[in-house]
Order: sequence, then C-alpha cells, then structure tokens
Amino acid sequence: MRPILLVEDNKDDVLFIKRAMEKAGIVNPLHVASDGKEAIEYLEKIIADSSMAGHPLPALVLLDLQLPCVRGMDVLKWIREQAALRTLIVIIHSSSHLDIDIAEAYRLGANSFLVKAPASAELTRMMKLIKEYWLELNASASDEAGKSV
Amino acid sequence: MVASAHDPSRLLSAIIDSSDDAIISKNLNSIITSWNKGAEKIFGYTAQEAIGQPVTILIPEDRADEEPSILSRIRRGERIDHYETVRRTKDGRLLDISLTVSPIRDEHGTIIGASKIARDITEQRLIQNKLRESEEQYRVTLASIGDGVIATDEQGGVTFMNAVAETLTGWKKEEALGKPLEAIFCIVNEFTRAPVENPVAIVLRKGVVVGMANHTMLIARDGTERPIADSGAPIRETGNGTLRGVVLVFRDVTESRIAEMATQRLAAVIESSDDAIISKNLDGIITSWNKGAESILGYSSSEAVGKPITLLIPPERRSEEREIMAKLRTGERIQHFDTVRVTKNGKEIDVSLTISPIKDLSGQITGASKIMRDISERKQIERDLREAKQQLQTRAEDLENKVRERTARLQEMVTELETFSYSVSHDLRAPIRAIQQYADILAEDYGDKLDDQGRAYLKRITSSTTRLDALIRDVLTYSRVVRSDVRFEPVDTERLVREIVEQYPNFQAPHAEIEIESPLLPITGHEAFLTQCLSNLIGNAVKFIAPGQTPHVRISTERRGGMVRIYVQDNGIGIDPRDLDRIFGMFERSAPEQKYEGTGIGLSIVRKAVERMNGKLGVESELGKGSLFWIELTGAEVK
Repeated sequence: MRPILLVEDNKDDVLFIKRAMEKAGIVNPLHVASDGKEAIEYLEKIIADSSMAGHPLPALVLLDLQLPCVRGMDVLKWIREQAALRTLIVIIHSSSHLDIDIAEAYRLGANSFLVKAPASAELTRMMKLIKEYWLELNASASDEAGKSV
Repeated sequence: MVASAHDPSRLLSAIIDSSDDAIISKNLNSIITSWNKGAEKIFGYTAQEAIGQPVTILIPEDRADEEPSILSRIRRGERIDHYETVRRTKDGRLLDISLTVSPIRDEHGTIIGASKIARDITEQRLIQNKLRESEEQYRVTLASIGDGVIATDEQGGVTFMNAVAETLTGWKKEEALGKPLEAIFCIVNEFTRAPVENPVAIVLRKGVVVGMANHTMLIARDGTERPIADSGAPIRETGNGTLRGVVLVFRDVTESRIAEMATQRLAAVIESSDDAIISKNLDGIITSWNKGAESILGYSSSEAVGKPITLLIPPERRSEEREIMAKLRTGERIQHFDTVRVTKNGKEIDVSLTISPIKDLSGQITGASKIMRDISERKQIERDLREAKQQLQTRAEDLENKVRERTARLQEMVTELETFSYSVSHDLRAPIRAIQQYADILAEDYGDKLDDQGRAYLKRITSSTTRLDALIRDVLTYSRVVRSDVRFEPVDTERLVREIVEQYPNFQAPHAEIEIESPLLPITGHEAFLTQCLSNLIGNAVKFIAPGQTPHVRISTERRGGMVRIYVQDNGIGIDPRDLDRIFGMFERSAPEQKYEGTGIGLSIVRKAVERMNGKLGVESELGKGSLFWIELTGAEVK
C-alpha cells in the first residue's frame, strides 16, 4: 500500500491528523516530514531508488504551507518541477484562508486546498472525505505514467 | 543865372564865349537873339546863321510841345534848372542836353526874353547808362547769390538786400531800405541768447573784414530762428578808400547744423556707449576706438588705433578673424556672434560681436565696424543658472531617492504588517485550534470518565476558544479592511445580497426570513468590502432576536441624489438609545454577552469599510422594536 506523506511542523497537528485518519479508517502508512527540506529529501530518495519496491511514490501528499526552512509553496513548486512527481497528488492543508495563498497554490499545481478544521469532529470528517475521494474514488496516474511524462 | 542883355561888359562877354556850354538868348517869340561859341560848337550853327531864327530849329519834332510850356513858365518868371532833354544839331544829330532856362527882364523888370544854358550831356549819359548797366549787373549778381546779402551805407542804414536776405530776415527790400541794419538783421548767440554785436557795426568801427561767426541765431521778423553763419566786409570808395558802407553776407546753416548735430550726437552715442565700438580697415587695422572699447579691453584709443585687430583675439581663435573678414567682403553682417577676446592685461572675456561692413560713397567696402558687448556677466549668470539647475536636479533626484526609500520602507512596513497578520492568523490560531481539539478529544475519548462538572468545564474551554478564534478572525478582517486597496467599480447590489443569503444557512428558512425588495439599486464601490458590510449587517439582524422569534429581515435601497442608501431592517431586540452612539466603535457591544455571541468588531468593520468607500452609515432603533441600519454609497448606472 502506498504511503501518505504528511508535511507538517506542528506536533499537535500531526497528532490530530494521525488520530483523525485512524478514526476515518485510513490504513496507508504515514510518513511525516516536519519541514519542507525533509519532504524534498524524502521524495528525492524515492525518485532515486524508484527501482526499489520498498519505496513507492506516496498515494498523496498533505502539505502545510507555513513551514520552517523551505516553505510549503516552494516544496509544491519543486515537486511540479520533477518529471517523476508531476502527477503526484498534492493536497494543501493550511490554516490560511487567504485568497492569495489559495490562488498561488493552484497556480503552482496543487490538486486541492483544504483549510485546517478548528474542531476535531470536522477534521475527522475531512479525513473521511479524503479517504473516500482521493484514495478510493479518484483515479490517479500510475507511477510509470508519472515518470514517463 | 540872371543876365542882362544891356550889360555890355567885356568880361561877361569873354566868359560867355569861353564857356563850353551853349549860352543862347531868345525873345518871347522864341526868336534866337544871341548865340555864343559854345552854342556854335554844340549845335553846328554859327551865330550869324542862328540869330534871328526861331529856337525851334534846335527842337526835334517829337518834342515840339516843349517850347510853348517852357515859354509859358518863363513868362510867369519861373526858372528851369537842369532840364534834361534832347536837341538837334545843324547836321541833324540828336544830343542829350541839360537845359537851364532863366527869364530876361528889362530895367523895369518886365520879362522880355530868356537865356538858355545848354550842356551837351550825351557823353555823360553814355557813362551813366554804362554805370547803370554795370550796377544792374552787380545787383542781379548779388540778388542771385545763394547767400543773403545786405549792403548798408556808412551809417549802417540798409541800401540793398537780395531775395535770400529777404527770405531769411522776413523783411521786404522796399521796407528795409534806409532802416538801420539792427532793425532788420537781429542776431543772438545760439546758446546764451545774448545779443551779438552786428558784424556791420564791427566793420564800421574797425574797418576790417569780419569773418564767419559761429553759433549765431538770426531771429526773423516773424520770430523764426535760424542758425546762420555771417561775415561782413567794408565798402570803400575807389581811389581814396573812404568807407562808404558795409556788405553783409550770411547763410542759413540749419541743414548743415542738423547734419553736424547728428554727427555730434552719433559721436556722443558712440563715446558714451558701454559697448566697445571699434572700426577697422580691410587690412584688419584698427581705425577707431571708443571709450567703451577702452574700458572693456583696457587699451586707450591711442594705444589701439593703428594696431592689428588680432591684438584682441586669443591665438586659438585667430581663424575666426579670417572667416569674419571673408563674410564682410561679401557685404554680409555678422550678428551676435558669441566669442572670447583678450584684454590688455591678458584676461579672456566673453563677448558678443556684431560686425557690419563700412562702405564708402561708391558702395565699396572699406572696412568694418564692430560692436562688442562684454557678456562675461551674462555668461556667468548662464553658468550659475546651469549650476543651479544641476543642483536642483540633484536635489530632485535626492528627493526622488528619498521618496523611493520611504516608499520602500513603507512597503516593507506593509509587508511586515502583512507578515504579522499572517503569523497572527497562523501562529496565534494554531494553538487555539490545538486547545479546541484537545478539548474535543478529551470529550470524545474520555468523556465517560469525567463527571458532569468536568464535562461542563470542557464545554467552557470549547466556547472560549471558539470566541477567541472568532475574535482573531475579525481583527484580521478589520485590519485587512483598513489597509487593502479600494477599487471603485459598479456593484450589482441585488446579486451580491442574493449570493450572501445563499452562502449562510442561518440566513435561510427556517432559521430566518430575508425579504429583498427588488430591484436593489447598484452602487459604486469595492465588492469585497460591500460583501463584508452586508453579511455583517444581515448577520447581526438575524442574531439579535428575542428568544422564540423568527428573524425577519427586510433589505431595500433608495436613491438619494447621486447616492444610494441600502437599508437592512430587522425585527430584533433593538438597541438602547444610550448605546446608539457607540455601537460602531471597536469592541463595543450593546446586547448582553451571555445571551448573544459576538466579538464587538463586526460593526467597526462595517464602519471602516463604508468610510473607505467614501460612504456614510447610520442606524435607527428602538428597544424591543427592531433596528434599521443603513449605509449610503455612490450610485452606479443600472447595467
């Protein structure tokens, strides 16, 4: 089963998301990168070792925008610049609801933009929807298709 | 002369015979009674031939009537002196005769005849005629002279004046003759106006020729004044040189005086000019040099005249002179040519030259006149001006740089502020969200392990965090309204209101009844701001409702001149009149907090947004009877 990459520096948020995913019944392995640099390093490693079966591309990336070192937007930009990651599903998960951020994220190639939920029930509901839509309903490009572009 | 025929005095007879004059006597019948040798010589008849003949033999036919009148005068005892007439000789020649006829009386005094003394004046006549002719010739000559001529006798009385003299003095010759010269020829000094001694008087006194006097003004009879030049010369009798009079010759010098004055004035202008005025010949030799040239260039006239003009030209500009001369030779004039010249002490000065060719009477170019103006000062001013301009530009650039710097700093501040709001939004809300969620998790996962009191506390945590989150969101909204750029564009109010109502479930049935009084008039403003205002106002309208009642909100518009007023009327709890003034203030609340959730910022946001759209807002309300909020904005054309 392909992993989910969670790029999030806030430990509380990591905890809430893990719990909400469990509650929503998401069973994919979760890899957490606590800043943009880590996320890029992780993805670079997967591309480099793509022949290795133990490191498949993530099913999706849940990307926070406010990150130390490399900003979320820059991570997104970097991802879209990599031929192998061009079709990777990236969902922005941010506390920002500013139009400028939303517009910029879509311009850089985000697949979805979700504003962080204020209450746990809402977060659980959000994760359920992600599972149903992005992990089950949505047909994503295969690894091979992604790499060949 | 009285003669007696009865006086046989030899002496008398001898005198009579020796006279060259014809001495004849006749009786009252005009018969010749005596005839002397003189008569014989003049008339050709001998005494024998003449005596006894009528005197008429001597009288030409055309003068036949003279004899009776002479006779009748004699009879009356009159004497006729020097009566000039014509008589005929024996051989028929006509002679000019001067007659003196006297009556002859007898011893009783009775007139018995007449004696005639006849002098042949033919020769005298001839001389007289010649004299007259010559005199006439002189007269005509004098009359035709271009100068005025007046002659006087030795007393200074006018004896002659010619036509020019008549014109200049205003006196007719006929009137002037015999008058003293001073009366006719009135002269004063041109400048002092003191009477000038008449040249005639001087000549009469000194007996010498008096030359042309200067600055004499002749005042004519009618008061006309003319500058004249005059001279006087004595008239002397031929032979003994006795002074017989003076001839005065004078001339109107008005014309020449004008020309002279013009020349003088020109010379004065040139001398007094601050510009250097220099002339040179075609060889480039300086021929004249005025005071201005002296003061500008330092050389005196005597130092400069005769020297080559190149004296004044800096070595590196020598070629200019050749070009100037070449142009002048074609008759061209050079105007305001700015260049540099050297003074006597070697200083280079900025000058402006105007050079014109000088032509002689035949039009041949003989040289050039140069007018040279010292423009050092002007050039200095120009340089100063340029410098000032440069400085101004530098200052302007400095200012621009400063403005740029400040703008940049301001921009930086705005960016910082945005970053600040951003971090407020993110960093401040993140922990709130965490508290909220931990409280949620506690309630969800451990709720059954807490008692009612514990669960109530958890609820209090949740409501506090919710309120804090709303507060932060509103503060951010307010600050965004304060600093965002305002765009003015037509906004379809009705569409906007409908969208807002659709967006909020609690604006819809069964939570609320929103009545829109179509059509709502469009306004000109910033759509995002208007959205904020209307959602806040409608939000308040549905929120502040008495328990158990359904909010009823009515939205309408009204045109007021160029403005449009948007009304939001509710059936809510109303506002205490004491609070009406302060409800638009930040964190001000009218309704009791425990009953109605709110941050107290909503109306501040509305007020700020309306202000930024150059609008007005207001409220009418009564406790228990609902409120009517309105905002007034510039209207827009209906699309």
